[in-house]
Amino acid sequence: MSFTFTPERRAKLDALILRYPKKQAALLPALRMAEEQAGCVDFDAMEHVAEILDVSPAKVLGVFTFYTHYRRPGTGKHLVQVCATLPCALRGAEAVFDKFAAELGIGQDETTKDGMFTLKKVECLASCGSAVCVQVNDDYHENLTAETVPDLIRKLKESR
Amino acid sequence: MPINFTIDGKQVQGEKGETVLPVALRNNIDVPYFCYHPGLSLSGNCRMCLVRVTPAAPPPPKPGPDGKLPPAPPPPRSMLAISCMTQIADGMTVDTKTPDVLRAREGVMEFELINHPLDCPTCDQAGECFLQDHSYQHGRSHGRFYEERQMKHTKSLGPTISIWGSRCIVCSRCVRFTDEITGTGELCIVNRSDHSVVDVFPGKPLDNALSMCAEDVCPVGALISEDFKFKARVWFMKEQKTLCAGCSVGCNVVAEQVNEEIARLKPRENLAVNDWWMCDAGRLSYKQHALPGRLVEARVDGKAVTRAEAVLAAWQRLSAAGGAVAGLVSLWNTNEEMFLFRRLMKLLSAVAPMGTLEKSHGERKQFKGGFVIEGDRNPNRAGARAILGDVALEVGATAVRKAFEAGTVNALLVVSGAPELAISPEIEAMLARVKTLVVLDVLESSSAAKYAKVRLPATMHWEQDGTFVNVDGRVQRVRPVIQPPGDAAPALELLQEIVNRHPPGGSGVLSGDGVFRQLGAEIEAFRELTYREVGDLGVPARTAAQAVKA
Repeated sequence: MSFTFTPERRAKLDALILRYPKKQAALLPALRMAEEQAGCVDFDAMEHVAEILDVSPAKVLGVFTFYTHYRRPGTGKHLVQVCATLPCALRGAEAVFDKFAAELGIGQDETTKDGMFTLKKVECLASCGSAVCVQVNDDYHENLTAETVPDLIRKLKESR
Repeated sequence: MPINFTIDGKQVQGEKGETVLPVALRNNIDVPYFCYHPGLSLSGNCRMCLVRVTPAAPPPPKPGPDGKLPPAPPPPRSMLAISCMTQIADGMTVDTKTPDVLRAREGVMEFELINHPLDCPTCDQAGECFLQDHSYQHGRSHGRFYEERQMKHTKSLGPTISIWGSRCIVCSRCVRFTDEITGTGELCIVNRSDHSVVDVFPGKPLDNALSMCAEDVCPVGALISEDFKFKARVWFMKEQKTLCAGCSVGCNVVAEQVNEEIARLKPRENLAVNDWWMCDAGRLSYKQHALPGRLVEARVDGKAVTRAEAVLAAWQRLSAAGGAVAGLVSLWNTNEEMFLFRRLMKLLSAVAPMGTLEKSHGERKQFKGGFVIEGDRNPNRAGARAILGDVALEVGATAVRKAFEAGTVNALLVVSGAPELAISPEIEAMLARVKTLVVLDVLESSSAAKYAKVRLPATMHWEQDGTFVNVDGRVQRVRPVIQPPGDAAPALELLQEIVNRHPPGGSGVLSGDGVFRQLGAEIEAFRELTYREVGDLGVPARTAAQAVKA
């Protein structure tokens, strides 16, 4: 399966590239656009982006794997990212993570069999004022405790 | 304008734009480092080269219009800084050995070793490893890390290189090498923080003509050459500085041998020739020394004889031709051998046609970083031009063949030190039919050796002293790395022994340097040169214009 940007996305990317001094500087948004299109970024998409931006595929792989916020192939429908940095940790992030793990039956970087949930610890989500913070896909869920986790899971399961 | 500053109290000088580390190294001040490499861009990620830097004191304040002195500016603040990235400035003071610097380095070393497997007993880098050296000099004797270590992948990155990821300190030298020198960009660092490790994109292996240099630039045992893997402990190997003969560039190399077998070649820094690099084909060319079918005994008419008997037979038969002689010498022979070859031919006949034999050309390749693999796969074309002249080089072999076909030549001397020469069918036919064929060669499979009446086993450039002239007209040394097999001897000696048979006879055999000095007395390109002067890095030929551009 090979990846190609849709004509609209490609036009959008081409316009975006012009805003940077060098075209390789558009790497991060290009990866984000690939993710938007396919739901995740696979090796084909990385090669396609590399070709457009005139960098080696290895360079794209290096940048892609540096960040945790891109969805890799095999990621579940709901990517649950539990903040593990200090303020959240002080407010019980560890217990929140363990609750997710116990309820979903998966560990760090694992995906449920039904492909619904992937669980991850991540670094600071910049929501320290409302710790514990968990980011599910693009949404923040704040002031969580181990007790409120099952409710959140239920809501996520009900959502489409 | 040079910039003057001090390192450890020593006055040193640098150029504008330089950073502290190269200036310190140039002045023999030891500063440890991992990620810095003089041939690559600065990265500054390993933090090992920390030094204390104090900027120059500001000039004393001048009295204002009211005659009062403004408050004195604060004294310059000194700080720990990585010397590879710190620009030099006039009046700066650098300290590389203060207690806080040493303590900081110790801290860096402790971090570098947190996830290191300490598998030195089975690591090929052991003995030439920056981690070992720096750990010994700058590290702590024990670690304080009790957490679980990160294990990383061990896998093949391409046909020539494997990675032991757990040994990697993520200095990014290899990544910068493929980005900047080869321009192929196969390598990258995947993941982040203590998970990061060097890798390739799936399906795009590290596979380029300089790929094995990635192992050279790796300061630790993370990148390992498939060719050298588990072959030898480096401290058992003996080093010799010599040249690669794979093309007319003449890359400077260090050849290392164990038990008279060459174990590997490594490029040797020479900014006038190959910088720090060499191609994979050249690096693996050491295998030629162990090619099957090396000539190991002298033969006359197919019968094994002693070297002295063969030398005598060679002289007798060549001189018996009464001047109807010709000669061919390979472009893999040294200047000294070509010179002796010419002397012998002149003794036999003032008008003897002389020609050259060569390996066929390959593709010329230039890389992003400027490194070139020349298409001319012969190491000494420029030397042949200087010693034998343009005519012998360009049309000599044809002239020899035409003279043979016209019947004015019935004895032929062939001198070769090359593994595979491109011999045309016409030359092959001549070799098969000429009445007297005296051959100094290295392989049984060579056309000349096959038809030889008198055959003397000679040496390859790994087994002898001599000089080559590279494509830019630079005179460079080859040195014996290993002993020749069997009775094989350098053509340098054999040719002198044959010349010594010329009445009234002689017995002296000069060393390479002795012949080279004679060469310097006769040939302008080598005027007054000696091996001492040529040294490890070579010198430009005296008449560069004549010697260059094959």
